[in-house]
Amino acid sequence: MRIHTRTWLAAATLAAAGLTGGPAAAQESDGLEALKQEIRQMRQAYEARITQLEARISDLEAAEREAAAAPAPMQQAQVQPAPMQQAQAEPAPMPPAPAPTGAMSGGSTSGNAFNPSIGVLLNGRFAAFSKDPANYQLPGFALAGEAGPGAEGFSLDETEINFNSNVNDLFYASTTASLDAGDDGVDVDLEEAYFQTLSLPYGMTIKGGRFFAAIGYLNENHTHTDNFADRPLAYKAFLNGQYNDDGVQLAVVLPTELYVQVGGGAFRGADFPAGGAAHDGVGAYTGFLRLGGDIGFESTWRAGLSYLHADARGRATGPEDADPADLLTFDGKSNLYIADFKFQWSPNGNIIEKYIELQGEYLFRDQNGTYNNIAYDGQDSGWYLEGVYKFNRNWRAAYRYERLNPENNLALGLLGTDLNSFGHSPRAQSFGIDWARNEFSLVRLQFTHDMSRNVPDNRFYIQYIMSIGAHTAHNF
Amino acid sequence: MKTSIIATAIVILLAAAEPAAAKVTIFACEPEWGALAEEIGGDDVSVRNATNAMQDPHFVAARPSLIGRVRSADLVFCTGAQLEIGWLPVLLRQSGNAKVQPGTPGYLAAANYVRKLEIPTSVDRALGDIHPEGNPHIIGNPHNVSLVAIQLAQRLEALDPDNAEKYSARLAVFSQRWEAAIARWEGEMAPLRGIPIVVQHKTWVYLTDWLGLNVITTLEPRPGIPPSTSHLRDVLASLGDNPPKFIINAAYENDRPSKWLAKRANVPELTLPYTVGGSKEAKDLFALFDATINLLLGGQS
Repeated sequence: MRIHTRTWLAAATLAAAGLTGGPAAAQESDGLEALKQEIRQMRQAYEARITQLEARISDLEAAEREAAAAPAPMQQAQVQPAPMQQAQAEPAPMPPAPAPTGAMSGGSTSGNAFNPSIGVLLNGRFAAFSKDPANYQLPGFALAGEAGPGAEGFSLDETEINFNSNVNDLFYASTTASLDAGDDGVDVDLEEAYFQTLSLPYGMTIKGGRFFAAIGYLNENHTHTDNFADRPLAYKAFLNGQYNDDGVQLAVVLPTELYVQVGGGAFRGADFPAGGAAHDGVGAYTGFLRLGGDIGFESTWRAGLSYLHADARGRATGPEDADPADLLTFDGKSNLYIADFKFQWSPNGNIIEKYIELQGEYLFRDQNGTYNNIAYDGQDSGWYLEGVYKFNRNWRAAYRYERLNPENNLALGLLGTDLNSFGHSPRAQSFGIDWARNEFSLVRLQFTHDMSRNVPDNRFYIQYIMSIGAHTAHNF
Repeated sequence: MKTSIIATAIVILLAAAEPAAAKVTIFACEPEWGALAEEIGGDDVSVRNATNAMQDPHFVAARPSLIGRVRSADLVFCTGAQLEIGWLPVLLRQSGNAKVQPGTPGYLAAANYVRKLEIPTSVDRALGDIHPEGNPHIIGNPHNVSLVAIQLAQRLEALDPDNAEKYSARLAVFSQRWEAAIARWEGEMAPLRGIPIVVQHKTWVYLTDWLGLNVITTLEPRPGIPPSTSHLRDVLASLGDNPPKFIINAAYENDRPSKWLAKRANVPELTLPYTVGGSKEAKDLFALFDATINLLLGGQS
């Protein structure tokens, strides 16, 4: 701008000067002299104004630099240019990681600018049961380790530590370690360690590593996002809480108006309900189809069908301190089919103030093989239905009803094992109330009337869930 | 054999289902950007909004319908400044759409192109729900819209070069009308410079900064924490002899705290649309500010 004005002024001055060339009458030369004088004055006035404006601009720039040097992260402070001007800023990518610390002035030699998002979840509770949890049984089902109600009294649930970040323009990666502090020391478990692609065409994503397979609804969610302190009986019986295994999974979102996601995965086959990493470490396969959509702007739903085929070799189940001879060991194929749905209604779609949710899953299992070398070909199933009512910013109430249908047609040799339900269908009802100050802290009161066995177990829990650091967004 | 037939069928289906896009598909996180996209894009764009004016844009369910919309989008146009950090990253990762990931031309964060206010010098969740990059509610100041409009036009020209002249022509028309409207609004609101007001949440800092309104207090004790009755009583007491001219909140906010204070302090309570669609009158960006200014002018008694 300044240069153009100067050039214009110079040109105007020259043009004016040009006019004075040649012979002129005295009168005319007086007039010309006056004109020259006027132009000189004009030029001086404009020069002065331009100098003032330049000084102001450099003052503003200096002030900006001062503000930018303050320890606040990721500033894009900009002087507002006059309208119709092109702003020069580079588009800044949305940072998945916490902002760099004070790296604004000059070069920083530390590599911390690209540190991943770090988040920690603390989870603990007080529980009181009317029946001794050491004697817990789920008749009709051979249970692996995560199926019991847990310890009574004060205890820590799993403490989760998560690191995640974009790796580069092609990949994102996330890892979650869970620390389980029981009476016999601390178990460190790697819950997830996976990469996910960001730039494949046709709506495809590939996930690889160890992760929660995309089957059912709850399986992909961390337990701290559940509406209850414990997983449903169907998840405990058929998935030992959650199926996470090493493998690869492809998902495709179709370019349709209705949300359609279809995909499948192949896994090592080491985690329950698979076992023993059959077929040289490719012991399980999954397939899934999910649909979803909105109804108006107040209601939304999702529904899915999924399938887990697991090959089990020496899948041993039973109490942790049991004699190996007392364990129930399954060898064979386990096919699990899951139908899930979730529906949410919220006035004006403003979910922070109020919503109602209905969610449920039906799991059907078909197993074919041997338990302790005794032939077994059986089918069992289970389902749960949950309703949640969030009645204001801080409070929610939840109810869950669940039921399991065990296989009752057993070979003689298996009648004395956990597989015998004695004609009883396990079921349970749970009521919960939770209070959240905001999305980072939650305290829950839960009462469960558990009829896993013929005699009821009344359970009471007070649970807290606290999140510090980066908190990855939840799935719907 | 069967799997390869199925695979081929899927590939053909996918290829066929992606026709050459006649329009640029824009996924706007908030309705103000959807409205701006319609002004600059006109008939050459098709706009889907992720949220409506009655939803708090911080808290949105990252649901399948939104994942599907991001998947089909050519441009994701959001506020940024971590306003959508609770839901947008999930949508972007699950959508499988490489064209709209942050850092690509298909991702536009409006807040990167304006001067942000209330950038905190220290960040701690004990201070409430604060935004480390500054207050993201930039729609309060229409000058910010001018700056973002320029970026949007550039981005549309890059994504759809065949229609580049149409986008810059629409930008010129919009900017002219917009600057004229800003001058008119500033004129109308000039008499109200410096008047004291109370706000329910820190949604309004850009609006009050633009119009020179003096915010004497915020009803929320900390951002994102709804005020309790005892806190409101303290606020009422602190107003004392200096009552505000009015109390303002946004259409998507629960207005009970404002109503409580308005009744006891005998001060009008105004619910402002905040964004396009927040009231019957606020049908587009011009009408949004017209309606807001009218409410502010009418509110002072």
